[in-house]
Amino acid sequence: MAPETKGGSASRARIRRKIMSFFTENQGSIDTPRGVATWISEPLAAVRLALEDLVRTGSLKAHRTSSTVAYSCPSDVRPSARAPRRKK
Amino acid sequence: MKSSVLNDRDFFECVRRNESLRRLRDSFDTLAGNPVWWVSFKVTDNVHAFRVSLESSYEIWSDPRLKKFRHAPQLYAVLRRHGKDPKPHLFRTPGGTLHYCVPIRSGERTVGFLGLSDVRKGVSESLLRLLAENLGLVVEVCAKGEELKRLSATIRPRAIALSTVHTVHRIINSTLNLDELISRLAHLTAQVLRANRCSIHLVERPHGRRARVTLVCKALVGFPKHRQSNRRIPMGAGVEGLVAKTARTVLRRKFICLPLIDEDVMGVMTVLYKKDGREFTHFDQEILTTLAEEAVIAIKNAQLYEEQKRVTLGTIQSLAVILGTRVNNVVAPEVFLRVALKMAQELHLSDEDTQALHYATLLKDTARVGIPDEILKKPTRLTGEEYQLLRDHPIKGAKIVQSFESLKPVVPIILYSREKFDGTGYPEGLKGEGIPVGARILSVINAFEAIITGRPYRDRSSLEDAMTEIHKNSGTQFDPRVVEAFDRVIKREGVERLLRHGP
Repeated sequence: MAPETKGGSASRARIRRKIMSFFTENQGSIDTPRGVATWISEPLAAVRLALEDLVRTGSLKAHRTSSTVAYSCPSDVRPSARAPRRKK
Repeated sequence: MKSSVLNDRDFFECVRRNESLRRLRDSFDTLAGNPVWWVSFKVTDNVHAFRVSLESSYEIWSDPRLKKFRHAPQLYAVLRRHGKDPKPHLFRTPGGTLHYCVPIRSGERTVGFLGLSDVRKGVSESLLRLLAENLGLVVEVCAKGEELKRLSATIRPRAIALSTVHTVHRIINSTLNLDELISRLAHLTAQVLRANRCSIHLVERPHGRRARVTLVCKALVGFPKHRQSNRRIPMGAGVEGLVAKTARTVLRRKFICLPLIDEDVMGVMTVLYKKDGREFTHFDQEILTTLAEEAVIAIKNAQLYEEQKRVTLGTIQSLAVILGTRVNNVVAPEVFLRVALKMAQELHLSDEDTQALHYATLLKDTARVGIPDEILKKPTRLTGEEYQLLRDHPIKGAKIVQSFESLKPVVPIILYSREKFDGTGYPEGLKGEGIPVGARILSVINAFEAIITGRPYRDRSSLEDAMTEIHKNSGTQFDPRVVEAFDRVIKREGVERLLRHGP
């Protein structure tokens, strides 16, 4: 993680909590930093940093393309592990 | 404004906690003779509840007189009689104390009261009317606030869902590789719908009158590993086949199967089993429909792009065949193409760079069209003038190729394919990493081909000789990193067998 000042650290932790709370409430959501910043009413730059922190810790998944990066809850799709069996 | 979500208690509490209600006393208190201000929830059969409700007024105005309020039973009796009257009323209780009571209304219902007890005698009616109007405004602001909250609660999830769909659109449209696009789409759809499984099938219409139209599985997410991709489903068979045939969405508790429609049905997308075990809803169907509409455009674009690529490649291959007939190819050119592409893979070239190298390898001898046969097939050493003509051939080749817009990335590969790693090559004497990597690969391929197939003025050589020659020039003519990759490809890919028997 990038170095943080004492005040900045608390603010970033608060934003990280807000982001995780947003993705917990909206588990199907996939959004850009601008989108997430809008939903949680926080500054874009700080949200970008917090999102990357959360990706590094594995709390979020990043979908990177040449033009943008989007974030979502990590997919926990596991073949045959969680899907109910079909009735024969 | 009527609050359709909150019940009376919640609405009353909302008004009670409103900051403007506290401030109302600051404006009217002195004029009304410093009365006791109180609020109460609507009157029920329970006098005790009324008393508790009155005492809660202390939280608003912190008036100690509320702690020893004597008028509760009388007020209770009056409000029981006039509780449903929507108008404010001024009344006296036994003992002559003057009270003023304004109903707090939510729509057509009285949800509580704001009251003033011990009002100054002779207080003007207009002042009391003004107080009632001000309370009306506070109530209206509360109702509007609640309505906004309700709207936000309804709209916010939809806005978040729309934003998600828009983001998915951006992600899937960032690639024109059909396989990658469909794989991304399946993963993202499963993520958005919180489904355990997602599959995408595309319609395949083979040529021929008797050939059957089928659905081919292009992506599976969350399915057991033994479930085969590329599985074919006849139109009309199973849920997917039926949806493709009828072009109608099927929504069931455990799955949604939806057609991908362009001019005709081009495929079907299915999501199965919600992660939380709940049932799929119409809202899920709505989201999936929007995703499918975005997906159709992206898939169509990718299919058109692949078609265009196939046409370009076909044209280039035809051109390469025409060029190939001018020289005696003892080894199929596909062998060298294969080695070049494997080297690109070995050197981790991007898809775009690999494609450019693919085309460049096919078109590297384009400029031969401008070289007379006598020179191309001359069995003796070339004169200085003839050699100069051959030296110009990458420049001419690049000029021919650059007229095609889609072949622009190929130009530098052909143009600099005769440059040498130590800077002694032509046409510009580029050195080291300054030479495009595609050109450095093509340079090795050119030399390899020349040694293996021979030239009119030089006999063919064996694979070992070619390897020795290329190694000898590593670091001078060729990039050592490229030579290493070449070495690995030759050893691994069974090139010797290919050289003997063809690809």
